[in-house]
Amino acid sequence: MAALPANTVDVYVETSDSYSHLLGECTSVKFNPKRELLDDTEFNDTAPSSVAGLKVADISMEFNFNVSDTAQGYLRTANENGTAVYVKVMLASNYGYKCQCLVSDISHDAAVKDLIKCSATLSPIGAWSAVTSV
Amino acid sequence: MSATPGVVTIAKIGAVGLSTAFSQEACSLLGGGESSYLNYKISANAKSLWDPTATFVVEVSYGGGYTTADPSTYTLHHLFGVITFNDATDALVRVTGKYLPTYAVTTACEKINLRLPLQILEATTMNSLYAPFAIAGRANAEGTIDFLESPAYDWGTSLDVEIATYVENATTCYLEVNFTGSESGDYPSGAWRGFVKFKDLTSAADQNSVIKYTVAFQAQQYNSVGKSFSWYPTLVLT
Repeated sequence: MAALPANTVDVYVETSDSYSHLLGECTSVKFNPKRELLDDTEFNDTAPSSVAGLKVADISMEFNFNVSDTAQGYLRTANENGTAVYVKVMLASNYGYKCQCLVSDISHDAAVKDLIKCSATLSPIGAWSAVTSV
Repeated sequence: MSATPGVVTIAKIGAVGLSTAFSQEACSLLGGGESSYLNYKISANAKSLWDPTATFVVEVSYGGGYTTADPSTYTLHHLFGVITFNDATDALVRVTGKYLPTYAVTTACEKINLRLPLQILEATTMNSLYAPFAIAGRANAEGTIDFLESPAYDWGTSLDVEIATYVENATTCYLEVNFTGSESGDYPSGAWRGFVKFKDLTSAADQNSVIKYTVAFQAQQYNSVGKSFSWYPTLVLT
């Protein structure tokens, strides 16, 4: 099966764990889920060994500024007030990731020849998890 | 609604004047997406940047004269002159306090970068095996504004000299970025306002272009009191 085009990805932002608001004008998203591995290989082991550690994630997104977009409003409010949002990135209708995050950085770039470009970086405050539905 | 073209973004930069008293100023109910009868804004836009160090008295009238509202029943948004009541308040509202006069010196903005980094304090403990944890630290705002010198703002008249003076003296100024482009004097929901200091002014001139300036800014609390910046409350209170 051929790879799905990237424009099938949907990003949802919510202040509670319900994920009802689609992030409008989203042009790019990165959700990099990781599992830290704690090395417990001992001297006499013949093979490396590790145990599972934290589930962390790097999350960032880019979107065009839209003052009427509810999900964008949640990001701005969370950034200003230091409150958390839930983010869900659906890579397909039945597959994605979610995580609770702080919005650590929002950047706005406006120029006369372009739309207002925004980027947001999010810092997880909990473990990410795979999900199968919005 | 489609994205807002950057061409209509307006940045206003200005000095903050001497704190000035106002008395029993009428307030208007804010429209927009917030719950009804919660948010009231001072009707006189010129008096909407409130002095966060001043004492404010909010009065409400339900038809039988004004009474002073209990301060625990509302929150003030000093950067936009907005009162947010905890519960729906269908009343006439007026306010007494102090505002900071502002003197906008330019709308000649060509490009702006507004960055809002929030400090993230790592707080994961030893036993949090599967979940990282962090808490929000200090909010910040910084960025740059590019603008053109024009006949209306030529060097020696107002804009450039004033900004150079702000940089030289580390003057606390105000910065307003209107993301939806209204020049009506009112503040639409896309407005961001902050107290800032300007720290770096670059001018560039060549024979094929008008003179261009870039100035960098950094958020600054006003007299160590209150928020240094905020989005217009209709966004904050969504």
